[in-house]
Amino acid sequence: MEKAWHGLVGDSNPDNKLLSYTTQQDVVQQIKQGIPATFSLTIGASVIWLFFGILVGVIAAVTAGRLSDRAITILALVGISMPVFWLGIVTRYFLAEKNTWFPDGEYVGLTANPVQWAYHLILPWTVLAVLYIGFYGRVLRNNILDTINEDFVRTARAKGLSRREVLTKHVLRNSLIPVVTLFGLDFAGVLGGGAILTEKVFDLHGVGWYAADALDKFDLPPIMGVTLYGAGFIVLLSVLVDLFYAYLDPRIRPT
Amino acid sequence: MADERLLEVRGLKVQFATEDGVVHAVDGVDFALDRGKVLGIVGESGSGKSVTAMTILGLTRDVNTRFEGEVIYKDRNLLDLPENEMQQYRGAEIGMIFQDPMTSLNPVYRVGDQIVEAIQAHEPVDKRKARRRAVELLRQVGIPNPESRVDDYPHQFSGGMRQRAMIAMALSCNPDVLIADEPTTALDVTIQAQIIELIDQLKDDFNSAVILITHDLGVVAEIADDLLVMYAGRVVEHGGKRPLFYDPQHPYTWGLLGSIPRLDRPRSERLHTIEGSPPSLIRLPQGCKFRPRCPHAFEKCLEEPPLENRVETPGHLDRCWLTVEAKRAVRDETIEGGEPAAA
Ligand SMILES: Nc1ncnc2c1ncn2[C@@H]1O[C@H](COP(=O)(O)OP(=O)(O)OP(=O)(O)O)[C@@H](O)[C@H]1O
Ligand SMILES: [Mg+2]
Repeated sequence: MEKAWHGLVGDSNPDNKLLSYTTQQDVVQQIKQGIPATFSLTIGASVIWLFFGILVGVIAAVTAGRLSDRAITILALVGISMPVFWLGIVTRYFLAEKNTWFPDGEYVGLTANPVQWAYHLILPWTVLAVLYIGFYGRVLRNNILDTINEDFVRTARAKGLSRREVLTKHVLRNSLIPVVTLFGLDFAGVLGGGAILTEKVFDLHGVGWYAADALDKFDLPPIMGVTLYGAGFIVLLSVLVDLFYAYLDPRIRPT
Repeated sequence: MADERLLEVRGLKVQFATEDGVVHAVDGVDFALDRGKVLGIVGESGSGKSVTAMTILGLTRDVNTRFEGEVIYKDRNLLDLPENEMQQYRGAEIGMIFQDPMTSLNPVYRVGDQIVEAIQAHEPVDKRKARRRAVELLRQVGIPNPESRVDDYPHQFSGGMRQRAMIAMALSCNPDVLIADEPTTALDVTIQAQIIELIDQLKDDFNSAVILITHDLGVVAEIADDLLVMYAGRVVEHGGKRPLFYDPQHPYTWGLLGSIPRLDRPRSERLHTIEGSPPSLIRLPQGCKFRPRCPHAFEKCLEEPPLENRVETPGHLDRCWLTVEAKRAVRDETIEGGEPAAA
């Protein structure tokens, strides 16, 4: 590894730093600078997609087969099928440029101005979340419909619990377990710079934007750096998911 | 002491609308249950035993389900109760345990917490008190070390222990009726006997009544007072245990009796089986529903026989056109082994 760095960065770089070919800037430093924007985008969007994904999934499952379920299924499919760059550009054009209801891209630091921070992020949050809402909603709907037929749900009803208690305590609790895995990996992916398109479309100078920029210029070191950084998050979140899994499902706890 | 009538089912019919047509899962079931009694319901797979039991608790309610008849529990027709009132009966007045203890407990909650949940669903007690009661219940159903096992998860229990825990949960609010839907089918034979004995003993301790569902006559032989034989969603024979074992009237009952393994028969002899399979519940045969499989069917069987008392014993009802003499003459060869297969 050490040697590889040397080969790549050459003699002009006595500190063993990974430098960009085009700008000679320190890659690690640049990634660090992108972190606030990327984290803000990821955390905000994931809260939205998790909340609405679960909501949509529960509503669809509870009304399975009826109109609202069908409508949700169709909307989910539309959401999943819409490319982020297209949706991003369209929303930006109509909501931020044609009508100036929302700021036209760019990132404002949370500490600098919290209100502007959120205001600038609403569109990218929503656009990024749309894809996942549809996906999570569908996965959860199917999980719930599977769980509802489990014997222990019948037991819960036979105890005299209300429909709501049965749904929240027994059905939802069990059908959310697989969603945790999905969420962990998706969250890690976006946190690790995976929201390249969203960041690019909305001019958010985060890690993904940095990677996209480097790709444009065939600048290898930043791409390497971002890949390693992203891989780190995947590993970290995978471990967290496993730990959380054990918390949710006692059967896989070590005894 | 006069018998206290707890539950009476009258003319119960349950139909499910499905894509293939209307399933007549239960098609005329009547019975009554008094305090302190055990009613055994037997019949092949698909004869409507579980649907009958779940309908009593209102667990089959659905947009695609149609009901007819009455389920009278202490003077109230449960079929008419709205869902939120029905809830107060489930668990508190009528408790139920199911066939497969491996899947009937929620794997992610502690056994004790699931019992506590059942208690708190009906009684305003705090968690600590409810937990103490859960421990006591687990002790009553024979779980060793209940103080520590109460915190176990279901997967840490064996099958027999889980079924005991299910029984503890079903009895936690002291219901007057306990419905056990094939409580021993998934368990091995020695455990089966223990569970049946436990149910019988708890029935006395809790002063309740039991509906015991099974497809194995041998299981009910020990503890049932009355027996109900179901075929294709309807009752084909109903009576006290002794008359039903010693003087069975319906050819289907003979078939069931013949399929109990017996020690007094040579092992080489094959167990008797009922030829054919149960009819489709969507398109039922004309007349007697057992006719296509019945070796004694004749023209009259194209007309449905009513459920009637045809023998000397009052209260022993059956649904078969054969004369009592004819039945007594032919049945023993059907049951095989000469005399009736009483345990
Ligand atoms: N919700 C439903 N929709 C359609 N058909 C159903 C439904 N529930 C039960 N049935 C049908 O009703 C019939 C009776 O089922 P039931 O579960 O009562 O049988 P059972 O006597 O308990 O059999 P087993 O011994 O296998 O438990 C079966 O043919 C079953 O397929
Ligand atoms: Mg059944």
